[in-house]
Amino acid sequence: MEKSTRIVGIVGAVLLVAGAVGWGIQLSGGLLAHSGMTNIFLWGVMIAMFAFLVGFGAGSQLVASAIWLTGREDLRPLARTAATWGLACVAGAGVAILADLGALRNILAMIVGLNLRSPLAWDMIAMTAFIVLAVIELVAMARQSPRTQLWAVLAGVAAVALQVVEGLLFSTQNAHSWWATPIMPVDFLAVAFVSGSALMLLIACMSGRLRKEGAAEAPRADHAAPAEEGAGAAGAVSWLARFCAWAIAAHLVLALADLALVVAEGTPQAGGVLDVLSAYAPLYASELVLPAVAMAILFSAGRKGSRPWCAAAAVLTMAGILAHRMMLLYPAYNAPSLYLQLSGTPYTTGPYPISTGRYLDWDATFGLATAYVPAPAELLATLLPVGVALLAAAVLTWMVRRAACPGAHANCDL
Amino acid sequence: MRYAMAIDLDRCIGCRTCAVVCKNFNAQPQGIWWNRVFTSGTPEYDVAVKVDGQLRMEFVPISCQHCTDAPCVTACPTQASYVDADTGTVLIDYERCIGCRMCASACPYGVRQYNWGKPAKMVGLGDTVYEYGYPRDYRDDGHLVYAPERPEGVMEKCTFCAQLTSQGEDPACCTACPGNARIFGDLDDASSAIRTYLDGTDREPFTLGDEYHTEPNVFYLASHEVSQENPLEDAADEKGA
Repeated sequence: MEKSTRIVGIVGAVLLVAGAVGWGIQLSGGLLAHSGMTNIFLWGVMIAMFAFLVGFGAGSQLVASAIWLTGREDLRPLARTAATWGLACVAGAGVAILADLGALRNILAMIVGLNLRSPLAWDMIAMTAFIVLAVIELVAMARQSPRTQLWAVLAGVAAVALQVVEGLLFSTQNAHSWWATPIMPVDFLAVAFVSGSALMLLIACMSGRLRKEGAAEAPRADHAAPAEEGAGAAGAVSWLARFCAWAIAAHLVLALADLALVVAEGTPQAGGVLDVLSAYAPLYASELVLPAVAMAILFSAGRKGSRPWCAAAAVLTMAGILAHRMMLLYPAYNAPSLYLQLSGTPYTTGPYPISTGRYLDWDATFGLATAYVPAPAELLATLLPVGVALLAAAVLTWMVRRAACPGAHANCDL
Repeated sequence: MRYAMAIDLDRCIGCRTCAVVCKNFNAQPQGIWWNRVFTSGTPEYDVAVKVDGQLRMEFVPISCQHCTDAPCVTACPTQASYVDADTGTVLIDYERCIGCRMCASACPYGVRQYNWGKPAKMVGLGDTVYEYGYPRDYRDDGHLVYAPERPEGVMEKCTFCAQLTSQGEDPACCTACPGNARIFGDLDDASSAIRTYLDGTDREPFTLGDEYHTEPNVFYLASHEVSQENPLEDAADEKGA
């Protein structure tokens, strides 16, 4: 196993153990007792992490599929890396969902009583289909099967479906005006492109092989000989930089369109969303500004394949996407959904309070909003899916590399 | 059969007996409220709002609206939330609920209550824990929809007191309301209490959250306008002038 892979695996294992401890603390006090969630703020940082990881997973697979579809043989080692991380991140996302359930003991009901009208059921179906197809694709890549392209395309379709279903899971919830927009599924797809390309860009920039090559090289011509894969690693940086920059541009346009829709809506619910956006302005600004800065870097220095700048842009993008995932929750849950009219009059008088369910913790029986801050055990538990993703990525990388390039490890992958 | 409830806002005095009786009869753990009553227009209780220069105060009790097109039932991935085919009541099977909270997220009325942590009984004076609530499990066609000892990590909400209505009784909140503001019955039965009440009033019943198109089966009757001049504000205006 290469040193970098080993480091990723060790970090993953440590995070997994730390996360398992956090989850254990949560379970010991009663399911989700140690969390900052309430009956107002129903999903917390674990769900944000789920959305974060699933975006990276589907996005990485989309990068892999794009490489196969465009016939860029020089970038095939990158495709293998992308497919590996795609599967690993979605596996981590699956763990996040399971860890967030209050009654995991009843999970069999997901099979025997599956409700096909539920977007969450379709989310699980899409995720399972993705995992199955991604595994087959990786096996095909490892065996250098002639049908690899077919499986790469199918896994890519599953990645698109996963993100669209993910978006529909939120956009079909009319109770939350922040989510109930047709833009949501499209933006989920755009965010996947952003996330996957940013992750691959970071990996390409950090690649030990690339560092040895020195200064970045220009992208090579299509259909280059596989023996020259090292140059492909350098070309990957500028290719990914362009890919990521355009994806960020699309995401920002959609995010701003979403904001414009809320502003134009003019309902009390939309007004509530704008109030929350204002209250969480620094986080919301991070969601928009960090990727915007990254996009500017990628369109300028990134085109030339500058590794330090591209790595910085990738990190900024990932931070912005994490903020985006958190901001998926605050304006949705902290903007009340039910406003009453004074009966017999046309006057909408105000929002109606909800029972928090957390009286003993905060002395607040009823409320309109929750200033959600994740509890320490909840934050610790969030490391569990991240650890699973990293460990799975390391193990899968080692397995695929061993199968695909026996005796040629150094030249095989990024 | 289609169970429904009418709430006459003219008769509601905001005493919250319904909320307390509901909590007691259904053995709701600490922090859980299936039923809540607030003053329309303010997050505080017992506060009047100003309409056309006059003060008006109106109490609006809200619990599960038992929607015909219930978003919680659509959202539930395991069919733990379902509409009882016999009565139209929206129920939750505690043995199927996985605690994903998708249903509560989908509900625009904020009536679903999740058990955060270990469900614990209410604490009395001197930190004593006392037993309360209907003492036996109740199953609807095999579904566990009521349990005095609540399972961990599941969602719960108003069942129209399924354990009572299945025996031909009214829900506890209707029986206990001192103003008889809540009227329960079968909307499909022309001779039921609710149909008689709704047919006998000249006020048009309305439902909450119409913008969500959920077709609730809890109907409200508007209060007759009761308002008063606000002498304090008038005095303040004159002083300011």
